[in-house]
Amino acid sequence: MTNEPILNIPITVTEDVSKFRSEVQKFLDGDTTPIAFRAYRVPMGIYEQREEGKYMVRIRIGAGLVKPYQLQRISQLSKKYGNGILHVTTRQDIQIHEVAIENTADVLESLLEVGLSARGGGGNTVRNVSACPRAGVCPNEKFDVSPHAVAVAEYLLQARSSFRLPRKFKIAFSGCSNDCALASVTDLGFFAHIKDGQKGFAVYAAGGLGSNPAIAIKLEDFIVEEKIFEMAETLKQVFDAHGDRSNKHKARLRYVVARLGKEKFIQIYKDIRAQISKDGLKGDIPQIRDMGTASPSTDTPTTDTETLNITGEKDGEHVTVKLRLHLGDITADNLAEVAQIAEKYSTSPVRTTQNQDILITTVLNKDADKITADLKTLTDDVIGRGPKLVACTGAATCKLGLCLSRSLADAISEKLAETATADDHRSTTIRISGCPNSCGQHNIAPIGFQGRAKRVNGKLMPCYDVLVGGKTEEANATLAKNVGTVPAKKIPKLIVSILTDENRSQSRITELVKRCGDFTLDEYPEDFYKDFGSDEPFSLAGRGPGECGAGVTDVIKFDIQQAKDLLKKAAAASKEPEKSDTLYNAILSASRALLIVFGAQPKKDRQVFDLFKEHLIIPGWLTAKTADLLEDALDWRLGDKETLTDLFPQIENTVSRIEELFLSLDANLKFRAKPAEEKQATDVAETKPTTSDLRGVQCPLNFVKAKIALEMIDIGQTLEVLLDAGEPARNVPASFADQGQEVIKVEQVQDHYAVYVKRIK
Amino acid sequence: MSLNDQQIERYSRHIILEEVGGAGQEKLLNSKVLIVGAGGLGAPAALYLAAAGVGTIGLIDADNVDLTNLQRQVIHHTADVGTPKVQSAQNKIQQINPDVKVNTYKAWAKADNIAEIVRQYDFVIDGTDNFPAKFLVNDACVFEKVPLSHAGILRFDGQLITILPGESACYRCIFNSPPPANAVPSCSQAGVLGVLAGVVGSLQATEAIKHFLGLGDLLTNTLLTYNALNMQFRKVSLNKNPNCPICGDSPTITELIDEEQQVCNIKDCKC
Amino acid sequence: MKLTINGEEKQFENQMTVSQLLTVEQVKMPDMVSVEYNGQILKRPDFDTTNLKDDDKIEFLYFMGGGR
Repeated sequence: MTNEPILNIPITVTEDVSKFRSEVQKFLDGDTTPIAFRAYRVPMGIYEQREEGKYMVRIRIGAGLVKPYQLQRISQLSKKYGNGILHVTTRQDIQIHEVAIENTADVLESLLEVGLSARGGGGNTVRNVSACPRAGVCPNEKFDVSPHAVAVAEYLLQARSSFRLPRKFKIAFSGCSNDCALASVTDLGFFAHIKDGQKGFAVYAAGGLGSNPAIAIKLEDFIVEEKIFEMAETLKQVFDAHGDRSNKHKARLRYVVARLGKEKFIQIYKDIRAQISKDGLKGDIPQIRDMGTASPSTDTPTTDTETLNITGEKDGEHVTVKLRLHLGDITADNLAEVAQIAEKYSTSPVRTTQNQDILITTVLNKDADKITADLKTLTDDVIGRGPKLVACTGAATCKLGLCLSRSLADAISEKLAETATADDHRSTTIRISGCPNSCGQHNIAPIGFQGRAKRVNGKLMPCYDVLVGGKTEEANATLAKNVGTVPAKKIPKLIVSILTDENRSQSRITELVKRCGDFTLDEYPEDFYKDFGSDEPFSLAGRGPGECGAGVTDVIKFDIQQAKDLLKKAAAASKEPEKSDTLYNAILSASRALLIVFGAQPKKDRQVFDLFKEHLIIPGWLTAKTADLLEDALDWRLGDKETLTDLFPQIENTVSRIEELFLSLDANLKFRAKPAEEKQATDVAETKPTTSDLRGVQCPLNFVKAKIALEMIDIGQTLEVLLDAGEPARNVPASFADQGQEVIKVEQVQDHYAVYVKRIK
Repeated sequence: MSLNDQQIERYSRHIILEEVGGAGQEKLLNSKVLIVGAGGLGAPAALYLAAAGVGTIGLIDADNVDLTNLQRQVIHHTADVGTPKVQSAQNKIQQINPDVKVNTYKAWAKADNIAEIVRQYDFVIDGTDNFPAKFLVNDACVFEKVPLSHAGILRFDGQLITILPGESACYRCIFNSPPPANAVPSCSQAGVLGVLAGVVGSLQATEAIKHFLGLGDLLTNTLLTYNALNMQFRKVSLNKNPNCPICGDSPTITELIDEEQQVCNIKDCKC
Repeated sequence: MKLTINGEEKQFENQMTVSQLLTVEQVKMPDMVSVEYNGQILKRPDFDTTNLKDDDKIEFLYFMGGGR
């Protein structure tokens, strides 16, 4: 195999790496803020890890192809600068972990030397262009799509605009409708087809996983292969022009379709494509060239070599050997060994797969046993036991993660190791994401898990939603359906029951899940409140503002809903102390709700109220009077106050305001609502009430306007309404009284009347 | 409060209501209702929702206005015959109330389009006239978790139920799946008293408005039946059905499907 | 036995199943009717095997497909 890289890295990327070095220096010198530095760092594929000062470098492995000499370099860099463990991702990238920031520029330059880049490994960029992992050798493929995946990547990487998109942009090429490259659920997906002897693609777009998964929509039945660059440029421009940059949670291409509708989206695509077709493409059009994936045939007769880690290739004379990596991890030493073994037995590049495994392709049939023996010296577990488990990196290293997904995967592995029939399910893949962002791609798994927090009996429990029945396929992809939530600790047993049950139907699985997911008990084992891999009670604390994932809002919503339900219950209650007790719990639940936003998870009631004061009252999000309300609540709890019933309207008001603040949270976890105004004493005599001058306004419009004015002041405040004498001065106060508001006084002032109304509700 | 003077006047009769006020009217202006079918039920619903100031109304209907519609579809006029129903409806809505934004979808509701549309709205009104569509709309609302007012009319009878997906009984809790083609007559085969559509469609609009304002008791888990001849209204109490194929304990329906279309077999039928 | 059918109380002499009740009450198109029995929708296969007893409440629910 020659030592030429797979992907030709454009000069702009090389320039960017030099610029990056000076940015790192500025950051280390304190000349630039972390936020400003982040804007450089992330699009260079360098991500913060949970531990301070440690970073992950995500290397693009175009079409999942990587040569042994490149793997050697990656291995060396991991040992020298990283933690000695490499990770294969679900997008076929390879990651180096725990690199100190001051070494990242060296790592990037060293990677460049062997034709590898991390540019666009992260950030609002064109990400790694993936392809089916057996492109070139798979018996099912229409033709080898790896040349196309690489060429499209090269084409897009040239332009700096590819690194300044509204959000990330993912492209995949599948060689047949089985869709191993997940092209049916990605921003831009290509499916190989041959029409009239010509190679080309069906094109789909605007699919995606994550918290609002969508299956891609078809744009073209068939385009000839040369048109892939035009398609890529078109979709990139559609995304650039229409992705919502103001809201990063709704910026991806699939939200553009949700917003505009499918028809309008397709029209926009057609218009932009027509324009590009007319103007021509800018930059160099890369050659769609052979990636060295196939091997020259030999005379070796075909042998039947389908076993657990070996699959036949399309020429009938070679096989693919799979090395299963547990959770996608491999030590640097082993990776170097793999590189050597690959060179020994194969002439084509090594492959990374969407299942986080490594493949060595074009191995002669007769060498199948020998190479397996060689691989076994690295690990006994070449083949792997039981189903393949794919997990996202999880809360251990990801700031957005809620649950420790990898620890769950380990627990499942251990349980399966005890199960005799687990190996019957080697070809099943179970996918686990530690939060709704779906980096484990659980929504297209036959069995998938999505981490979430659930408040059970007042404490947070790590749980997972169970999803079943997902699959990718050209024109026929299905998103997995959520069939229920279960505590994390119950999952290993649940998986064993599912796999060992004769009935593998969705309804049976749903039944098993429902049995596990009983949250109505009075008590649960202490252990349930701790996640796998942790001795601490499960918590969402320590999640700084700005890094909050979708799952945290679930918990806030739950607390607020609980407060609202308690208010309803209190309204219906008539006896004390039940009524006041319910009101107390309502205000407690509501006060606790938003504290997660500030990283706080207090245990005691007094702490809840104190933190609420600190984070929400003092900065002015709620009125100072609310502090009095909390004091009253505590007084009642201590027995110093008889009842909370008289404070019902204020408590209701406070809960509403808290909900208003929650709904106003923007993508950076800041409140967009207006701050509460400082209130003064509500004594009419001392303060100037708001006035509404409705002289000259006839009935009933005067009451309508007066009523609106009353809605704009707080409960307990007084409105002064000026009205004409006669019907207005009679009808308006009467209407207010009818509706339960308190008319304090009606007085004649020269030729008109002044009515004072106190807002009761 | 962001109501201008015109709106304060226009909606004054709402605002006066103790339970509504300016705040309630604002809620209506911020609400979005999708009406599937701009016909017998959809017409009165749209008229009243527009008058009420529901801020966004979506209309799905692929048909053009036909002379036979005018006996009951009061939003369409003689001059509209031959024009698309969604356009005719949009015009009248805009004339009643320029505050209302109308989104028109000149298309049939199908499995491949309905979900994306439904998810953009806060409430859906079933104004369809065939069972496959009624089941499809139900399924889409269940999957997308959007509240739905389901209704049906025939001859002198009408019925409606309000569905809060996941919380209350859905259409399939009562009727597992569509009847075979031809088993149950449609309005064009059996006829319908025109004004019946007005009564039932208006009840549907009422449910939508109550939902937005959080007032009263919705017809959840309650099938309201009405017979125009004896003027009887009855409420049949229902429960969410654990055997329901879409919202029950072991759902078998996991995606939207276009069931077979109804075939008319009345001799000389001109529909 | 006393049965409440569609809100109306009626007396019946003989024992019968739900299927038989549909016939006795001359329900049109019995295959298209949904039956709520004491608050639960009955599965169609159970019509033949559900024996009615005193004080049962039955609702007949009909498909109504019109609307446009």
